[in-house]
Amino acid sequence: MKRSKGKRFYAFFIFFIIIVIFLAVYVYSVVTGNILEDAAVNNIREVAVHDRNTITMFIEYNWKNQQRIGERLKRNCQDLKTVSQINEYLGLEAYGSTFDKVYLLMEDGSYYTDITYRKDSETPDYYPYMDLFADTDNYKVIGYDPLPVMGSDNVVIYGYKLSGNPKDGILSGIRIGEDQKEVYAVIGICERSTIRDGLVIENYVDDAGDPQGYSSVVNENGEYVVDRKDAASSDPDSLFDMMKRCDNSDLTSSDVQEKMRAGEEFWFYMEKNGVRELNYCTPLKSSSINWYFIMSVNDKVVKDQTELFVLLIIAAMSAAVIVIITAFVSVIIMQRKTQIAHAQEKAQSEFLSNMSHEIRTPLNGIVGLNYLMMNAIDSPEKHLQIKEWLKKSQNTAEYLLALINDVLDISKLQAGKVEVTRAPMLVEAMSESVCSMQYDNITGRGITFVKDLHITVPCIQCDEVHIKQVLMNIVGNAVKFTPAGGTIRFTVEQRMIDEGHVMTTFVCEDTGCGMSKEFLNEIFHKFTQDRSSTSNSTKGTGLGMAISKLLVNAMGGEIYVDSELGKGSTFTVEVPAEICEIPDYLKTDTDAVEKPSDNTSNDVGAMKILVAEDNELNAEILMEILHQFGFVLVHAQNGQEAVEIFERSKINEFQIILMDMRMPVLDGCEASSRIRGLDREDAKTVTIVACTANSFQEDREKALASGMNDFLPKPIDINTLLRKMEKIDREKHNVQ
Amino acid sequence: MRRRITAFLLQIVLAMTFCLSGCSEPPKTEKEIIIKVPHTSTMNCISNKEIKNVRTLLELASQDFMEQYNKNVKIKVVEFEGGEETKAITNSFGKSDAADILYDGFFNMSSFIHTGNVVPLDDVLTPEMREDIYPVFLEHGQYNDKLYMLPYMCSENILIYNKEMLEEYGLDEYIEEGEVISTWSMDDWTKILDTLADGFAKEGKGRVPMMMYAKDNQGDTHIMTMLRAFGGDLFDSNDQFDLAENPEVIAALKWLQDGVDRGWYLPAPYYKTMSDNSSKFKMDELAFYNFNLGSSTYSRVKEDYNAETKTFQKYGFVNYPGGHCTIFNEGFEVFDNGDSEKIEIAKDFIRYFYETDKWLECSAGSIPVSKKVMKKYKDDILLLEAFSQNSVNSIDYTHNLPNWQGSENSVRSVFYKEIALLMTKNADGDFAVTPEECADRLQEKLNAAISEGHKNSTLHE
Repeated sequence: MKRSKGKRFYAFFIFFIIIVIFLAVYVYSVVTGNILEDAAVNNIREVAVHDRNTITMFIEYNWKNQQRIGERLKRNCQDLKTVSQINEYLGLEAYGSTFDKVYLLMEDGSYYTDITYRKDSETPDYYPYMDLFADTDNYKVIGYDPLPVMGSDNVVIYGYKLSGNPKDGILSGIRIGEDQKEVYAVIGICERSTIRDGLVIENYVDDAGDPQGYSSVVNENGEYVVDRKDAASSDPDSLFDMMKRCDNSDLTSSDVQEKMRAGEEFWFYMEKNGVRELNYCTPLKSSSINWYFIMSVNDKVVKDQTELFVLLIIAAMSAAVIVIITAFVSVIIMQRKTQIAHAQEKAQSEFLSNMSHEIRTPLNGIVGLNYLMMNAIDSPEKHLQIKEWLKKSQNTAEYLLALINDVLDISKLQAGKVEVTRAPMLVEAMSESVCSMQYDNITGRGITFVKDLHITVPCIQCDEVHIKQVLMNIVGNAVKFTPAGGTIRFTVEQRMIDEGHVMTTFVCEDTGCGMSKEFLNEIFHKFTQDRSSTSNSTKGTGLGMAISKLLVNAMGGEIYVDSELGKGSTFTVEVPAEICEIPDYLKTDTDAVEKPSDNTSNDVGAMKILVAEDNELNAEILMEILHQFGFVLVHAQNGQEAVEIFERSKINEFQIILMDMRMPVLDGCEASSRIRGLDREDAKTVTIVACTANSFQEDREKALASGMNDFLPKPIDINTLLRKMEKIDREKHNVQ
Repeated sequence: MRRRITAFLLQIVLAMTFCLSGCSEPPKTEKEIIIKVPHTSTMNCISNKEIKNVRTLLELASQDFMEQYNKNVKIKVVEFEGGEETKAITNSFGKSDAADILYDGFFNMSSFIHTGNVVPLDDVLTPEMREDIYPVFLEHGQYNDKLYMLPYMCSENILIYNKEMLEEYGLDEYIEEGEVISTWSMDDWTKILDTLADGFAKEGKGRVPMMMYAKDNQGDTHIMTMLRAFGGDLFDSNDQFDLAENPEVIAALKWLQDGVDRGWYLPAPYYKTMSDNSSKFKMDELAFYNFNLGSSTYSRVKEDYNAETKTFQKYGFVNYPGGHCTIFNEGFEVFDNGDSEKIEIAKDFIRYFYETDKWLECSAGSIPVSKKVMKKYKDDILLLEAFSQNSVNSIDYTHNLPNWQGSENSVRSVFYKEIALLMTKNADGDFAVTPEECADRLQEKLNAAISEGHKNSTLHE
């Protein structure tokens, strides 16, 4: 639990760091993005201003050209009499100028071109060029369409007044034609492409080379003097019309008009047909031009410039974060490993120390008793004392055996070698079994035993062996630490977890000596025993509760303890389990709950047993004990000999074969397998019981797999052996 | 547990990275076909008055095609400025806006055949289509016996003249009434032009008899047609220009050059455009100008026609000096942009277009290449029958030769400059080149252009 809390703390700590760093990165990237966007816009502004200045210079240059045309005209006007002469003259002027066409506007509004003379509005295709000079400006430039010249409706018209306003009576003094009218202004006409071609924004192209930016020029009414893209564009002819039709725009057309009137330099985003463009608007810097230069650049260009940098920042910061976190986690893991290694080292050291102490103590007693008995064996007056010493020696040996069993159990549990098996278990029968096994022990000590079973779900999927082991340990402890006159209450309750699962709670409450608070904190640790003044028990190995906790946890349950020194203890075991139907084989046993046998009697004699045991001493002890109980015994020194003896025996001569598993020549499993394979009628029915010091589950499974019927771990518990003999004898007789 | 924490942290890092970097749009699956068409492709479609230009026609047809087609296709019709084929087509090769289909005049399109990007269209033609299209038009679209350009309609170019001017100066004998296209001898031409020029000069109003221009390449083929005024062919049997020491060509060049001094043209014709001449004609200050059924003067011609008397009041029609007319086929090319599926879709569209009567019939307005459309509309279109009969006087002026246009030293880039030089006088009042010199220069430069075209030519298989 503590470890889990630690992990959670680290996880949240790292998460917190990540959040903080990412927030920092986010804020940094937003700020950087804005700065970069400003830089990108500034870059666009520089290009726009450059192009704007180019256009302005181009226009002013054209006006100067018109001025020179006027000066030349003044010198040559006397030679220009007929329309053809003037047409040819203007053709030559256009040929040598920046204009595609050069016209001469006369004082009465008529005008000469390089191909014709247009007298007045009555003349077909007449254009009122005089309107260009409706205000007081001496220079004029307009984008115009349609115009009946050049076959194109995309032209820019430059007007240059040769002298003052005719309304003011100020004229050029240049007279041409047969009627010697005065020339009022020079008109120059260019295709719009002459401006547009100079404005190709080569800086802004995508990977495919497609342009991502366009220049345009609009007049004070928002009408395009130079189209956004090309003459064939389907876009509207006015910026303001386009703004009205666009999907989205930072500014309204009114806003833009107002800014243009104020001569501001500004920019805004406009989205049209799913394409978002930044439009940078800057006025042409000339007193006679109210045009605006607009550079429209795909938003992608700005984004590409900023996003790349921001992404690089994010990538770099992310990499830094990952490296920091990795380093941090690595340090934590290494520290943790070091701590675990130290703890394991310490635990192993303590374990060995404890083991040494715990084993040496009873061994010391046995050695001492043996010494006393050897010295006293020849003194008849000490026979009673020797008997007492023998009893103590046996008790000590049994304790030693229990200790080793517990050590093995806990080793297996910690190594994960104990597998929890789930099989149908009758809760009541199991509880009754535990109670009945402890019943005599409890009542014999003058302790009141109260059993309180509230079982609502009779059968659950559970590991009966292990739950019984846990409960036996808890109830056994209660018995040990409860004095005569005390009470032990054993309660079983159940509550539903969900439709298919139930939580079974076993509670063992005693009125014993209880435990100190310090001990409560360590009760589930290994080799822990309460040695406080009120508890003088040294009867346990100190491993029982540690084993119990590991087993219960392995079953998905939990074990709790509540205790108060001098008042008693309460152990609670909660085990979740799946609900199941009572299988048929358990139904028959329901009525036959095992009860302790009153007679591990000698009535099982007369059975003939084949003992396969290579160790002479063990064989001798076993055969002597069984002989005392009236069994007829035959000894085989190895598996091969056991097979041969059985093969030579009469049918059903042997009722039981006690088979050691590890033997020379032929081991017990192979021997059992061969016996089962013999072609005789008792080969399949003779009971073979494995007797082995190998007490792990896999040994048990291996024995059963080879054809053996049962398993008896060494050192052999004589009572258990006799009960098995009795059971086998009873079954054989029932069968017969 | 440790792995789960690590995975959790990595997920957070990745999620936040994605959040900050944004998400990309899923890729589109539909195919986009781009049809490019010049802005100048106007139409006089009589079956559907709403259709004023080829772009509208193709937009409507592609809309119908997309609705009935079994694939997810988007067809986009894009206009480009007339005369900017190089920018719109060649410069777009390999780019996202590359044309999959081009509708244009053959003389603009023929150069693209030699880029290797134009796909043969023989497999588009069904037996019915092949039977229906006049063979002469199909031949104009072929090169090396493969059909690279599929004709849709054609403009037959002749000259329109102002009858009133001829009548004014006693040239009534040359005027023919009704839907007739005249052919005059060179002597007649000289007489007519001289008579008008003299008369106009005396007026001093700036009127001139004959169109002439050389400022740019627009209308250059009309001028090239007049190089045949005294007979003969411009090409030899190897499709090389045969101009130098060609007496007919030199005579024609001299006749054209003499016109400058005789006052036939606008002043400084080397710096005049076809458009200048057009404007002059519309102002009734030019007697002869180019004309076809798709031209902007066609509406004036229709207004001029008196249905009751079956005569024209103001306008008459005549072949170019020498008796020739020029045929301008218009139609389709399909480009290979590296996507075979798009090629198939483009071909399917063109096949659909030709197999659907309402789209095929829109060609009636100009001269349709379809026999059945011609049959159906020949009485409904003024001068259509006359143009049809006059097509025997047409000449194949390009031979679909490579490098006709598109580069700085292409045939079209070279030709008008040499004609401009022919019309230009130096400070001494002499012409910059003689007709013989002009013929020599033309032959050298034009054949160099074609040779370079052949050298760089790659044909799509």
